[in-house]
Amino acid sequence: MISHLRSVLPRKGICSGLLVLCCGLCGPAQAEFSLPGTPLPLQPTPDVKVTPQYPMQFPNALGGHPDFPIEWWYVTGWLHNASGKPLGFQITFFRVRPPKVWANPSAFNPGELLFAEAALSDPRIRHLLTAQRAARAGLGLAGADRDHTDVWIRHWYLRQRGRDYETRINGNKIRYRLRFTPTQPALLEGPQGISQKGPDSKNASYYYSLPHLKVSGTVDIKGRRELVSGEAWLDHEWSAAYLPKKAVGWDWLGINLQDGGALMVFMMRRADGAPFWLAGTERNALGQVHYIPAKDIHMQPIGWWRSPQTGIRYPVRWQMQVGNLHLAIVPLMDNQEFDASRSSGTVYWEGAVRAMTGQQTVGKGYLELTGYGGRLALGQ
Amino acid sequence: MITRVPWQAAVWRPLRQRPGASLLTIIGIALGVALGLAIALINIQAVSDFSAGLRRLSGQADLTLTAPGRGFSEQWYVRLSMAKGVAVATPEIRLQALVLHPARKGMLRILGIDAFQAARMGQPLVPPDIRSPLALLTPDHIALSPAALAYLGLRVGDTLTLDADGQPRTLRIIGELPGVGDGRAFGVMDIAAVQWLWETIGTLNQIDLRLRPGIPTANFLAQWQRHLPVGAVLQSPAQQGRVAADASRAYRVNLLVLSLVALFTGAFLVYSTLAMGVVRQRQQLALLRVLGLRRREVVLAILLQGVVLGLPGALLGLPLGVLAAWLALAHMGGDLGAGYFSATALHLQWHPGLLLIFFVAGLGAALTGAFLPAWETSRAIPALALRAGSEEQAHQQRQHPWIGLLLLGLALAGSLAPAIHGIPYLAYGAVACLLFALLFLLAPLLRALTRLFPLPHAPVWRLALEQLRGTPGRAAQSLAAVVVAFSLVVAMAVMVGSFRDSVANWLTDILRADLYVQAGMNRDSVLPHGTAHQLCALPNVRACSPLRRITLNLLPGHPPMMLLARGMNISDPERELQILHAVRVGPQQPPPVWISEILAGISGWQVGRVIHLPLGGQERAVTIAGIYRDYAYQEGSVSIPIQQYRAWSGDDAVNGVALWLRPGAAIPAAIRNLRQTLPDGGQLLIATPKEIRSKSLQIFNQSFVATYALEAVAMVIGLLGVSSGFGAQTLMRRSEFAMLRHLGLRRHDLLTLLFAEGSVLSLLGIFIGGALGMAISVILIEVVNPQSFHWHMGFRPSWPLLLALSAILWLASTATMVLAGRRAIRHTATVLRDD
Repeated sequence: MISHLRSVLPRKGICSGLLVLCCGLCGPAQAEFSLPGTPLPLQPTPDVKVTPQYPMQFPNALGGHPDFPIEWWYVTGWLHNASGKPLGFQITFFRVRPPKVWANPSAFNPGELLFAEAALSDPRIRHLLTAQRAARAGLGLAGADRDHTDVWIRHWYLRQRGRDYETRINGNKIRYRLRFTPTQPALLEGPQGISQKGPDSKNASYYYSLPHLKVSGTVDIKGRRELVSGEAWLDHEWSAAYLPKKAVGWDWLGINLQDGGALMVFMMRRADGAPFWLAGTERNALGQVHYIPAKDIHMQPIGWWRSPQTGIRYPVRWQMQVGNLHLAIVPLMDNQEFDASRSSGTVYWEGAVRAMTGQQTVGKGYLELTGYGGRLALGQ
Repeated sequence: MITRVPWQAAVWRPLRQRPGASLLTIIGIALGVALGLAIALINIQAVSDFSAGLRRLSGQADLTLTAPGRGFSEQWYVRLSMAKGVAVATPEIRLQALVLHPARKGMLRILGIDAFQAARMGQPLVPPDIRSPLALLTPDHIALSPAALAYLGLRVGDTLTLDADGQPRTLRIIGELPGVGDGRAFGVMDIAAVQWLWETIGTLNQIDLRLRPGIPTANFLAQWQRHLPVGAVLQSPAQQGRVAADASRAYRVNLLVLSLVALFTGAFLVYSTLAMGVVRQRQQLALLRVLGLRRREVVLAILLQGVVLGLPGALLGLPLGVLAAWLALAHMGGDLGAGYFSATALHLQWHPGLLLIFFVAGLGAALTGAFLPAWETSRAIPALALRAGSEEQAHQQRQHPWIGLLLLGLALAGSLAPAIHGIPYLAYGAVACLLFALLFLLAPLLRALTRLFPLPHAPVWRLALEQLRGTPGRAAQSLAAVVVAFSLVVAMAVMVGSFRDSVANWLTDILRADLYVQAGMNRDSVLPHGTAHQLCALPNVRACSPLRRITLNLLPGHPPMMLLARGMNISDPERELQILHAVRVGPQQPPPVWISEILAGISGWQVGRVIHLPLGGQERAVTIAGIYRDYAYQEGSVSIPIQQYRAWSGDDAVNGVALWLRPGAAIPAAIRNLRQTLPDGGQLLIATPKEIRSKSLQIFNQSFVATYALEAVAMVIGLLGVSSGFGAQTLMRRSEFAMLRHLGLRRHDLLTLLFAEGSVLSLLGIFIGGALGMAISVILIEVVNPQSFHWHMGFRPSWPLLLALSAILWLASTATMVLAGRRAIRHTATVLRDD
């Protein structure tokens, strides 16, 4: 999936929690000034890019890629408690390499930063419950393992445990302890695992997904613990490249279809709302993967919701045609706005949605809408 | 009942008849209230701002782990971050850095923080308008507190050059921190940058902890107390503030007591004004009594006179006090120059409770001063009082020397009593008893003293002495306030003089080397590696002694103290120290250290005792081989041979070196040679003992500026008393002067008479006040100072200074008396006709 992060990488767009940080990536270089004495030495910047010369390979793909400026692991899904009431959840761990890293031998040297964001959609509460963490990697207190999926900030983590994944989130209002069991092989979201984000070949990322993860565990909502189970979707994506300058944000959708198929589709959006780049991946129930070209994708907003908190208007209902799939996208609840403006200055909509054909639900997943609050002033 | 007191006749008119004396009394009370209020406001502000600032800076932290000096390993941060019960942990490094540009701005406190953790802790250490966290992580960026920006005269976007471990580092100011209201000047940088630039990689000196909800702080403390890094202290921010406030408490109480002296003198002023007035009113009051006014109503009437003087005085004193506090805070800082709080301007806040207290104190002082005259008057027998010429008789009646003797006894008891919570309250009480004893003993003393003088032959002088012999009570009243003031001036002069003398003597004793080389103005600056060896190897150098200075937490609940490691000779510690007590340490005992008198006073440790020093991550047993005098480190100090320190701590840094030159080596040439030979010789601070001595004494004098100011005010109030008392007294004797004039004395002779009376009276006042002052200074030197500050000094009054003070007072007091009396000898003819 193309998470909100991405648009942060380009200098417009919307950052999510992490991402004010990224502004360093997109903002103009800071004015240099001379230091008396010896100038502080920098670490060399690794020269990395997303290219078919280096196709994605497992198991290397599972771990962190510290030479790349940005990377994230992103799990979304639908849960239900013992009484069958639905809940949506998302957990994201970001890893960021700042544009300049000094050759500082200190264990606190901020050569790698980690951010975590979690949100829970409970229709009984009717707005998102969120939790966030930020830390520099190091001292064993925060980091991302290179060899397999294991990313953590103190007590928060997402990690592989055998074939499964485990996560723990410990916020004030929400806590999760969830276990994800893969039921299908990884889905590469582009040929050789490379997902193109625009016409320029450098705007690309390595990107794979694990749809149809079986979920079990507990969720604490405001101190009340519930046993939950359900189905989730994991994205892992890393990139060195800047996204197209002309995009202000994106609309991204990932759906676990009820027949066992999976659908990912995204649109990079111009300032005027028109599509700049469209791409999608469909894996059908038989396991056949189709990379869907832009001409076969039509995304049409049909219902808008205005946030009473921020006044931002989001297209939360859609009519879509992707390949030969015709879907209506309906949110679990309208208010799934994530307000990270206090920490990162970003506001976006990220919520649980149903995919409908006629009156029938054919899949469940997550929709992400970024860039509707205007561009961030990212150090420009 | 109040309505029965004839307001006009018994209260208002007597005061109006002597507008000058009444006005002076009001001014005296106002000055007393103003001074006390100003000092109290400054104290409260300094401490509350200090601890509030500390609390706000620590955010929502429940506990703070601190270790002075080099701190502890950052692994403790990891351990505590992941510890059960900890919700948030923030790592910090605090240090002081010399500001190189802008020039001459001294030291700046630097906090190295992890902005992500500080934000979680709710610490106001991140500029609110910062756009990107990356800006906070850049090593050459710094954010400054509003006070720091103002002090340095810089703005956001400017650059600032600091001395980072010997290297100049130019930093860009990326933002202004939210103010925490205490006006503290500091800068915030990324913790990694501070570790890197100041070469403290791997160590921290503070960790703030927020516990999970439901985890009691006491339980967590109990669980961790025994598993902390050696030499570190885990305590709540409130406790931390208390420790800091306690450190300066004795000083603040001392200052407050001194400030109350002015109010005390004011009370004496009210006493002398009303006592004098009551004598004049005697017949009127007696008449009122005869006309049916009850005794307690007479008391009430005189007390009301006290209120009429005290009320405007107290009311006037309040704005004056606030103004004085505001001026002092704006210009001197919260410790009035004593160096307890960082010297940044504080903002005065509104303390209605305190204003009320000082208003009541002012009024109370006036009522206290009025009580004795009121009580005495009420006891007079109306019929006797109606007779003329009974004034002095009344004075005779009023003397109760036994009360004075009782008070002297109490003073003696109080000065022998121990301190309460480290503050010599009882000794201060003893000083008050001594002063009150004066009230009862002054007249008998004056009578006895005047009888010691033989009557001179010159008629005018004979007349003057006879007058004083005959009316010691009256003389005592006009003299009371100035005697009190002078005794306090003498007491402080003797105390400060003795102290200064002891400090000077101590400096001479310990500064025995020829040259002292320091790494920098900062106590923590270290010499570049190898410089100490180079210094010792210079051709002109005969001997050298390196010095390493670090702070240690040695006593729980007290601020850290200084560990001084130097090249000592164990068998001859007196080369470096002025030893007061010593004991032999045998080879079987733990190695010797020496502790300062202050530390011995705080801890109660005696020579020969084995204590433990947290060095190199372990508790090291040492024997106290001696106690030495040390006025330099108010929190106390420990001296240890540097070889021992290095062996235990593994720290071979050096802050300074003392050098002994070969005989015949010229000091200026040696300094030149030294600067040229060493690579960074230009940056070293090189001083001769003479320079250090004069600089130290200069600092000493500065720290007593507040004391001198208080003394001056008390003296002025005392002189107001002389003026009003003597003036009133001479006015009462108008008919006497008229008669003398009629008998053939010229106006000039009358002035001589006034001068003679005034000068003899002043002389006696100076003598009695001086003796009282000596007694008080003994209490200050032998009791108050050791109990408050744990330092001792010899009793060495500076006689020339005392003589000069006496001469000044004699001149001022005599001149005041002659001026006040001149009015009485005008228009003698009219007076005589009236009579």
